[in-house]
Amino acid sequence: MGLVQRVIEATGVSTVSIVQVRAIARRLQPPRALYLHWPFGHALGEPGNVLQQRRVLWEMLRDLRERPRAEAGRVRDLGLRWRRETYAPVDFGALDGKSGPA
Amino acid sequence: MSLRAVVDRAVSRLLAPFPDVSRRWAERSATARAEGPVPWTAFTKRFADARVAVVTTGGFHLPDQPGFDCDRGDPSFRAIPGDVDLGRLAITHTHYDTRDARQDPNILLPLDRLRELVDEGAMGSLAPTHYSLMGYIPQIGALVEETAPAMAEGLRREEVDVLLLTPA
Repeated sequence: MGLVQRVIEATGVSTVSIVQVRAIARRLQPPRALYLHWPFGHALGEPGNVLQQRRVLWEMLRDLRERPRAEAGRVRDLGLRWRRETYAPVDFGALDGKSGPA
Repeated sequence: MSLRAVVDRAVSRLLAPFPDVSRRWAERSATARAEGPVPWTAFTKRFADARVAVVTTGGFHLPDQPGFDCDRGDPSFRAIPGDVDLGRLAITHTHYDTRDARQDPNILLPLDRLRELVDEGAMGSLAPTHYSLMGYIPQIGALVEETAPAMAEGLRREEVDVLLLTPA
């Protein structure tokens, strides 16, 4: 998957991935990788947990917006624990520089 | 196909009966192909003007598309329409517990969540096509030289700005 991401980024698409095996991601160095220590098959979290899924999407978009080129290939740990977090609504509009209701 | 891809394919076939050896060999082969500078495309648009697509290794496919070869590994992809009813999707993947993903495919292929962002005006549009692979792929040569460029071409054709990748 890291290789697929590198190939596609090189064609001019901005890419960001969730990774679940940190050692492989560190070797393959996809441009933007976010690590979650969650069970396989649960990249965005638990079934039906909309706030959790939106939080992970928000983290992905925020990384696209904020990560500097100097950090290309670095694996960022999101630090979210499995089933031990409370998820609040996130403000997607703020990622475009607009503030508004979350 | 390059010589390296031909060798990759031959070795992956020979090793198919030995998944652990096969997986280790694939990792070494993959690492060798990740040399050189990390590619970078800066994201400079507003998300409200951007088009988003998803690539997942969750093993999703439409009921009338063929499943994946989980025993030998499978470098092929299935194109998933952006307006698909997620409840119609099938999963062929024996290397992770698929029960939760069947219950709510958004945990790997978050098309309902992204449609909500489009409705809210936080995202410009959802791409017409998204892509699903099955995550066990010892055929690194075919993945890098055929599958990835084919998906990249589809993304370019549909003017995708942002690609989210999710593993299973």
